[in-house]
Amino acid sequence: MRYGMVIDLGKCIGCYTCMVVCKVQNCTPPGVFWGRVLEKEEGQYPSVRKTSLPILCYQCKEPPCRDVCPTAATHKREDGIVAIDYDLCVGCRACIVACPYQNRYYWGKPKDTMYFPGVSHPYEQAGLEEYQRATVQKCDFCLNRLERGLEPACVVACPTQARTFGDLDDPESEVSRLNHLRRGCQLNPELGTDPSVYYILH
Amino acid sequence: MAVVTKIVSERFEVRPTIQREWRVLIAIALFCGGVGGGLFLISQFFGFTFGVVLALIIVGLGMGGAYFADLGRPLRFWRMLISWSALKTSWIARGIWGIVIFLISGALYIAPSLGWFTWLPWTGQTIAGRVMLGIAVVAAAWVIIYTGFVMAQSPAIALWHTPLLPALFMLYGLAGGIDLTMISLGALGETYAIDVHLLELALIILLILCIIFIWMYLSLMSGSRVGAREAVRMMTRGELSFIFWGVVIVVGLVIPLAVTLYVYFIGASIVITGVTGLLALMGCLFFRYALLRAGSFSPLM
Repeated sequence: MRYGMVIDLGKCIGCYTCMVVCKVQNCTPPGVFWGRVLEKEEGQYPSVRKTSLPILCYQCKEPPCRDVCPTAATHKREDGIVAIDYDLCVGCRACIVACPYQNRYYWGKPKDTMYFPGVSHPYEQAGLEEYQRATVQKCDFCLNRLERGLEPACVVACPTQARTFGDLDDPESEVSRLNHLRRGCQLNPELGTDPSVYYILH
Repeated sequence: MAVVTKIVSERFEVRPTIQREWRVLIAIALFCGGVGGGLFLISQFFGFTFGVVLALIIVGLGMGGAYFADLGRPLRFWRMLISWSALKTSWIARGIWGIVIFLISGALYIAPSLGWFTWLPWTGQTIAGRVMLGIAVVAAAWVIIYTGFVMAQSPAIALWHTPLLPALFMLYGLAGGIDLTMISLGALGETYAIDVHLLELALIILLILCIIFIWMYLSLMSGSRVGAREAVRMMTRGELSFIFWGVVIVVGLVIPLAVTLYVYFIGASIVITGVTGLLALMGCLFFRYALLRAGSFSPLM
């Protein structure tokens, strides 16, 4: 089994819903965005084109972050998800430097301020208890949702259904068929990371 | 009142993004590892006991201390020594083992030479002592060069992803070792049975090789990915140009080379080479800092 995702860039409208719902679902710390939407404008007025590129951890088949980790805190699960064991992470940030897609984040030491210092919502406190300061974190395809048979929050919340999620190793799965029929492509395949997230270009 | 957390706008833009994780402390660690390992090799070659002890201190306290201070969870550092799966792929894990082996074997080797440990059942001439020396020499070379592999292992930062980097670090490490030896000789004011003339010749060769290799390195990176090209621009024409040209090249290489050539052919007090050794070490440190500071991710689109 290898969990993966296909994102149709023709359907993505750059609404940032995926980014916001990811933060709500996973209660990520301030300044940490497991999912982001990059925007690029090309051309000059009046011929201007804007491309929105949703990015997240690509759960690479050959993850450079795993190779550089000195404690094996970053490891690859049997379902293809690259997970982090926070108890093993020493906070060396070698994985952040190794990730070509810049999809890993370091939640620093307590001197980092919260969004509203001195005012901490109970929901925010409960969500942040899952994480450890001074360690690295990243998208894990909403593992807690997957374990309950649900899809990742960004997939469900996308208003244009631009994201399709499933088992890339199953040729009959929707994500595999979509990837094959629409010729999905990976980001920077020349780096040899073999990401599990594909994009459909238009 | 709400405090706006700084959100780095680069995270949402499509352009080369400089890495912000490894900065001054890592530069200090790389520097200490390089010159410490180099000092051990040079000192051992010339039988300079003070240099051997100083090398162990530089690697142990300088490199180890800087790494320790940089880690987010420093008290977990021992986990880097027990993960066998990490050892198979991670240059950091391999390097940490190299540092530990170097410190232990180097300390055990030199200990009988120090006044407090003459009771130890081996000396530098016994088989056990020679075995420890051999291990320490290999480990010292490992300590110098592994830092280059740590940086080169990252495919994300094109500026670092080249085998030229470990080679450059080895050259700088050996040159730094000679610089420290000169500084120590100048500061101690004592006469050791060290062929200073040979040291100066070795330093001249190493400095010339450093200049050549840096030129090759920048030339190669100028034709590499966008991130590397942007990094080269930063170093040679951008915000790091003063550090690179002024400190790394002129202060760190050109002036020491010129002075050492003068001293080698004309002759002068070792104090002069000691002072230029300080300049060279400064260049060595800032070279590593400039590399870390300029390291950039290529844009994703």
